[in-house]
Amino acid sequence: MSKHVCVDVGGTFTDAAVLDARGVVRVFKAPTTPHDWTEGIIGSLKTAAEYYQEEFSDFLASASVELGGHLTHGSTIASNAIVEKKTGKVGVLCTKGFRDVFLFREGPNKGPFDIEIAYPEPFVPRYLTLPVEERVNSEGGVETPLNEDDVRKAVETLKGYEVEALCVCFLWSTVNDSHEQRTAALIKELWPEVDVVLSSEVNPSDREYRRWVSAVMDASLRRLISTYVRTLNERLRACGFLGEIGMLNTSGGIISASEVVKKPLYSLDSGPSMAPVAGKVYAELEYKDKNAVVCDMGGTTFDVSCVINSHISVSREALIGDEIPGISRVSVHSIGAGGGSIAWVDNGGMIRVGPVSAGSMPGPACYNRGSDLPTVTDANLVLGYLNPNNFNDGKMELAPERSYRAIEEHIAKKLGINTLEAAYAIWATVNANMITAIKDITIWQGIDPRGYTMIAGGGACGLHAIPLAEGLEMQRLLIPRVAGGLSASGGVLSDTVWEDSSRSLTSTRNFDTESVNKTLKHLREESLDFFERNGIAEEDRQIEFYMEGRYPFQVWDLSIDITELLNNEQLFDEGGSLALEETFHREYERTFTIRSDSAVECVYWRVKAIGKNHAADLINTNPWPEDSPDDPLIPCGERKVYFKHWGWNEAVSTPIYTGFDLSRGHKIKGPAIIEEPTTTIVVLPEYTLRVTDAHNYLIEGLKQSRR
Amino acid sequence: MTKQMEPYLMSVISSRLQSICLEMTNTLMRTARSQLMSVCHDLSTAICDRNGDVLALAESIPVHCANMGLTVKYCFNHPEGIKAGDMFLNNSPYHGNTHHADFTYIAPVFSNGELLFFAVAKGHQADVGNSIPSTYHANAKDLYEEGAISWPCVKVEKDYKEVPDIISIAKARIRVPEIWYGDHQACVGSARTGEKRLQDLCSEYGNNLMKDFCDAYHAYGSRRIQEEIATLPAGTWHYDIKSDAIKGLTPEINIHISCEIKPDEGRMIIDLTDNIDSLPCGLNMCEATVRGSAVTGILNRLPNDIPSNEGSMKHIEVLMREGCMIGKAVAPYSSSLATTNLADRLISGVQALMNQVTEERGVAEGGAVQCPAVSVISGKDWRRNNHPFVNQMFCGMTGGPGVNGFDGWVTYQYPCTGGALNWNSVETLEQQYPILILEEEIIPDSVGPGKFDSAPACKFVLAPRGHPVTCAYSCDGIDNPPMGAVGGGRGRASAAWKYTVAEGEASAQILPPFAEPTIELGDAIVSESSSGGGYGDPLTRDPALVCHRVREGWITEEFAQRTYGVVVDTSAEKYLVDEEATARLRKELAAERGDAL
Repeated sequence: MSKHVCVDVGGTFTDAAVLDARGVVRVFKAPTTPHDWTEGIIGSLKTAAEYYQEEFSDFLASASVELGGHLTHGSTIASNAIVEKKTGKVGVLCTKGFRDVFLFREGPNKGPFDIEIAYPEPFVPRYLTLPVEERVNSEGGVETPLNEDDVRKAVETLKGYEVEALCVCFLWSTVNDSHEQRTAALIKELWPEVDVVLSSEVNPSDREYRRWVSAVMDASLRRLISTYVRTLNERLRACGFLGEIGMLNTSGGIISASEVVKKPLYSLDSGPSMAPVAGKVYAELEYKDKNAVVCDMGGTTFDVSCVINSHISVSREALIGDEIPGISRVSVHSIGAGGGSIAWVDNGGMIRVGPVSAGSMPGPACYNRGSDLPTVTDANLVLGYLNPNNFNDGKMELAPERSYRAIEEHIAKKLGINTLEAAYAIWATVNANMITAIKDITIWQGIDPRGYTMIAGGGACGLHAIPLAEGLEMQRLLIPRVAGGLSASGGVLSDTVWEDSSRSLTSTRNFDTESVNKTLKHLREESLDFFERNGIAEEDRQIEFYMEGRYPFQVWDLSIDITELLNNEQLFDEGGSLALEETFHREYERTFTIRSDSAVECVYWRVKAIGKNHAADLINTNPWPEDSPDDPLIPCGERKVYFKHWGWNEAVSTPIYTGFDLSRGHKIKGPAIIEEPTTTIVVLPEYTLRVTDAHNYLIEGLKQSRR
Repeated sequence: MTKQMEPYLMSVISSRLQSICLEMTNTLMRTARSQLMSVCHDLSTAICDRNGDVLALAESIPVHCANMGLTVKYCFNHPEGIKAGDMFLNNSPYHGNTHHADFTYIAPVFSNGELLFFAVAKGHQADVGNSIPSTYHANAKDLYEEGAISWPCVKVEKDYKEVPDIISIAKARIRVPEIWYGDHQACVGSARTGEKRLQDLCSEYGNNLMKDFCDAYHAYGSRRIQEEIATLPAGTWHYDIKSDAIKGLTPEINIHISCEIKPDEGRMIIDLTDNIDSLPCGLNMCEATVRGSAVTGILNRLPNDIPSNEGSMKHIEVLMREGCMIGKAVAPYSSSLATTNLADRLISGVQALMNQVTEERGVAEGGAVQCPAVSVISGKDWRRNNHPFVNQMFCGMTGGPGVNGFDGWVTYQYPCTGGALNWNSVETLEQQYPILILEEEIIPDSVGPGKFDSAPACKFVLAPRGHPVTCAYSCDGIDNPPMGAVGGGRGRASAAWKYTVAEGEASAQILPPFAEPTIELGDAIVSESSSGGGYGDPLTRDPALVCHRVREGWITEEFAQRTYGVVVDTSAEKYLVDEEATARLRKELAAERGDAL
């Protein structure tokens, strides 16, 4: 019996999602093991094997491609290495006069009144960044020929420092890469063993800082990622796994280990980028909606991503550590709002939540690990939303009296209100913070969330989902049964995705069809080559093209899907730029509400080669047909819960249900609480929770838009 | 007495206001045409209450804060009154605005016929029709020579419709009309977005509750700042800071600042009345920038999360005099550079004055501005059918002063922006304008040394391509580099020069400090920014950090010995501190200057 499996390594837990033969996705958890990630990975898979009552080796074999299944993996190892500055040592050859590109960046973000902060050190130390006399101009002309002596000297010096890779970063190599190529050839002669990375190859986009820093990041990750992937495969194979594990990448897709090793940069934040993949599938499954805002709230962060017209939104702007690598990545915004965020009262008497977090160590006061500061989790416990005896599937006991004392001491007394009211104020404040963050993120992408479906995932999101949807005036809210492991579930369902892009500057009013078509043709060939080397069947292949451009003198590029504008050979017909321009105007107007009639500067051409994964088709939309809405609906208990929002002045007795007892079609009127092993859902008064055929939780009663 | 609001409502509504400001900022940044706004973030948005007092401000550049209310309040003087659907434009430094290049768009917000808020969007334009191709005209004798069109809080939209005559006038008088109009639409769009969202908020909570909230939120700001002021000692302090004499334009200008702190009353009074009268040049400050700069200097010394609303800001009083250079400018004296130069010196002076009061968030003087790296460049682009261009660059100017606990912020740029502006990419500049940037690197041994160094200065070299390029700049800090604080050294002086590329830098010709030279083909202009002052005694600087800076080429071995008394052993790859030699040298240097370390 084949299985489709994905393991996602998170900060606290490693999740394994399994799509089993019945067509049901289940999530299993094991503690993350930072000293050796593989241990936690194997731990989560063993938990799953135990659930299915299979030998571990049989379980792993059933998740192998040879037996019709697959095993994929997302991790934050690349991201962590960058944030913690633990990447490999790299030497750089750069255009003379520009050694400080890594220092200046684009002016790192800083609040105007923040003065007590340290300026970030450059990604590559300056003494390993050596100048080479050469210069190409913005049209590709050579202003100063390459000084090969400079190259020789630099290579010799960097060889002396025993760097593990050399990176060549020249200005305008996107337009004319001859100097970078010649330098690479020279390096091959001088130091044949060393890895060479060219900025024009890793990320052929304008803005030298982004291109250069992405190239050095890529170079600095090579050894780390290839070692990691190799070790992981070997250890899994030793346990009975056949073949190779698929790696999740930054485009929200799967890629083979050998592809990842070639461009390790594209394995950045591969775990979190899967949550929108799951969100997309569930929004389509339950609401037939192609638009979704996906929220994932865990212990320390709150992640937001968007699906727009079935496209998971991507961005080139995202930060990683102190850097903006400028590659197109699934856009997942994290804000520091989680169960561990600490609440406090400032000296003006305003209640504040975060940005400081107690994390999971020492964690909230109720964890009883030494902290007595009130957190969001403590507020949820005092309000009765969380069950102290059933936290994380009953594996961890909470101390509600510690929560109560922390909130009373640090909040209630200072504000002169009672403890319940104080807990409520914490809860409402963190909700308001999250609403502001979601608005900021969606507005930036030109999305009005009111027309979108909210998918709430992560262990803590069910506690806050209704007020979030309400505050954003969203009318559709779904909490998937697998909410506790949304990213891992997404990894089970994602396609194989590979991306490449090329720069070819032209204007829609003076469109260079020939050179654009040459670019598109090249990208298409690259895609076909990718399909071939990864053995993707003809019928599963799909190629999408995108153009990234802007109006003259603007600098922010907007990406549009141009696949539909191309002919059968996926090229532009003569005059095709008219439709291109119109599509751009429309997308621009959708995003910024301003309609322009000016020409469009087309800059980048991006291809997305997709190998379809049919796992989503295997999801059983009605796995328990024998269940019925007429099955008795019996609460497993009740407890006192506080809902001040509705004008009640004290906690009232509220029914508690366990997810296990619920059947498809069941409707539960709020106030009520649903406890799943890895998540808890608070159904506020006036709302109703309905269990769908696929056993997901859908919230009814969200009001029509006020506007 | 303000009404008590429920704690959770305070959080929820203030969060909503913040969200509206952010949406206005996003709209503005993403739709603007000029690099100034879209990339460099030279813009601000605010929400003012029904009285025109600032209630909430998006994170914006400091010189725009604490004075938005002044700009808005002139709406109340409009002869037609304020009506729903109006859009005011105020760019007049004589009417509460900062300088002519900052266009402030103001949308009054009505709910059920009642005026409740103003939504405000302000952005720096690429060109405003000055007599020279720059938004900064230092040599302008008066506002007529300056040449900008003044919009003293006029209506550019009525009943939500554009007043076409205004647009025609602007398009006829601005060098890059299509870019200007794009920016105009972006600002209007931003203010209208704010208006719409605020109306939604009012209809959700009701007008009365919103008014109560405004009062409560001002009261909150007031409490926050009073608590902070209460921690400071009582007294009056003085500080003087000088900007360079500009031959043929101005003498050396001394800014005298006095500051009285009344902790028990929760008030600070900054007195700037004892300064020289306005001069016939573009450097005169105006009411908005004097207030903005003085308050910024104080805010830099307070916790960074004090709400920027009138409730808090009113506790910092700024005394100024009409017709004073560091005061309220009166037409026809030009305030073309009211947001930079003297404004930057004033911010540096106020924050440095505070070093006498407290070591908390101690900071030296910031780098002097505006070297040629932040020129407004103009000319014709041969790649675009000789289409004219004009725009200000933001790069090549570092300037972060040493801070108690931290080295200077490298991309600080202006004290009046505090590092909030972005930095232009070389490739973006070269793609958009016909120029070639030959160098942009830090200058060795250029830090203002201290226990905490300033950021190093930057050298920036630009050459024209195809046609000559005019670079307009106003470079302060050649004669008066920024002072250090608490024993820290001075920053490095700035410089402006040009040379003939074929002959090399030996052909250097010094350029005047304030000028708009046209750089001919074959020549290149060189900008050397100033660096800020250092903070604390350099002999107490962490030797490991000195060693690191030597390794990175920020400073030389000799500089390390001479300035910090640190001896570096360069035999290891990462260099090492020679502890013994360092201890010896430090003792010697301390003895030389007559104190025991």
